[in-house]
Amino acid sequence: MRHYFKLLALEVRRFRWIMVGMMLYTLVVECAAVAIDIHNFANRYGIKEGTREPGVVPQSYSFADVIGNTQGGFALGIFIPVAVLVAYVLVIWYRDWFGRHPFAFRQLMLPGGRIPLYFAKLTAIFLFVFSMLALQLVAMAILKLEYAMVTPELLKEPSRFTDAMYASEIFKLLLPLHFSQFLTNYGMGFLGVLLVFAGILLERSYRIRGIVLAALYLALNITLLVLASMSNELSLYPSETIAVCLTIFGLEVAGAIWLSLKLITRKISA
Amino acid sequence: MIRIENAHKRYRWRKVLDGVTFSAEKGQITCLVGMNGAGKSTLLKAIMGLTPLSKGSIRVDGVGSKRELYEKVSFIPDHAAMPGGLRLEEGLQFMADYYKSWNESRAQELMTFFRLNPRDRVGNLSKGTAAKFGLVLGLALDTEFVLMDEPFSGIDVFSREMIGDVFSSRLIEDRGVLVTTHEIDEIEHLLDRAVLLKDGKVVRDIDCEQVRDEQGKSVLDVMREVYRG
Repeated sequence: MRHYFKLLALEVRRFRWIMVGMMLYTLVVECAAVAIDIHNFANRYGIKEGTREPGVVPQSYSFADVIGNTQGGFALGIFIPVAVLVAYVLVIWYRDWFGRHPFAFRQLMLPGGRIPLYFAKLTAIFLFVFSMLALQLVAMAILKLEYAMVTPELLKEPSRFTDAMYASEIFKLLLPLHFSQFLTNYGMGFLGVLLVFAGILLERSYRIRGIVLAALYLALNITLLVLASMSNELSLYPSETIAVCLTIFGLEVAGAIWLSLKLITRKISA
Repeated sequence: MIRIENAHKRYRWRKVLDGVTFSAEKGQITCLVGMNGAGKSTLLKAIMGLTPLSKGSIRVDGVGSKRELYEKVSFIPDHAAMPGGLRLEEGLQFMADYYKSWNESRAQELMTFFRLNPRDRVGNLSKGTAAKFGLVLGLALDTEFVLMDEPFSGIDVFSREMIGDVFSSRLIEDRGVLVTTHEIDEIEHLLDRAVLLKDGKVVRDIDCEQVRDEQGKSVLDVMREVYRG
């Protein structure tokens, strides 16, 4: 267990500057999007420039309205870090095989065994994902503060935090309102990472043949998932559909972990 | 003793190892000799479990599991095998964290001997300096065997001399050393045994002193016979 935590700490350490960079980027982009949106709205009524026509009562503009109207900016702030994290699912393995001093040699020769290495990389990915999610919640609080500071009094209207969160389609995806949807979204993400890890380990074990095997393995698993999702068309009760989906999900998770551990302990080449 | 028996390994359609059998004894320096692609590095990697054999077995005396293997046998590849962003002192700490057999005072002694700066980053080291740091990481482990892959490859003459000195020092004494090298003349006088590989097979397995005394030949002479026909 000690080796696992040490390896996890190393993985976090190696990604920390990219993580800090992504967090700053997200904050800056979202703050800028909110500031620009409020500025533009206020200008529509000439409030900021002092050219407001007398007698015209401006429409109020709540924090939820701001979030709902800045989805493009938010997409820019969120999707680039998401893309980086998706790429990092591959990079977290391959960077240790390439370069001048391949670290894979050392990692595969650690007396603590190779299983902690696999789980440290897996945990690191989830830690990064949930850190970004946590940052987004913190960012919302900062943005609300920004809203309070930069919105002219005339336009301000109170809104609930949750209304603001769900005014954005991206937030609905990142933090679904229903816990079951949250589990489905992040469960599928978890399975995706496990399948990609298994694919990478197949490639690292069998090289060119491994690429073909990984492609077949991924295709098989995706097909099973699609079939499971289509099971509601078989006149099954909802509970039966859920049972089918959960069984396929459980089998794929267990299969991916079993295959990955088998490969990393017995077949992989440095 | 490290015993390799009937080792077979294929890379796609090419046989890299084709029934290799030999032993490396503790207290001896054994050199694996062969042309490029003869399977020398593959053998070292197979001993360390870094590549699986297609067929055959490898046994290390007193080792029952991989965990024990990495505490009893150290492998020094021809690079530092550490993340480029790490400082050398952090690399040493990494080793201390994971290996029970890590000997900190010897590590510091080696750092001084090779004149390495602990604040340097691995990624900024030249090939020669990285090779020296690799030697620090491998030799500071209190292991019974040391495997070295091309320790002189691409290294300047002064660094070669320093690395050559290691072979005749107490750092190696009593350990079993299995080394692969093209620059055989650097350590020829120190070798106890030489195993010559050709086309994935062991073609000669010689006791260097015996060949010197009885036939008046050096390892290089035997290599000429084998590889030049």
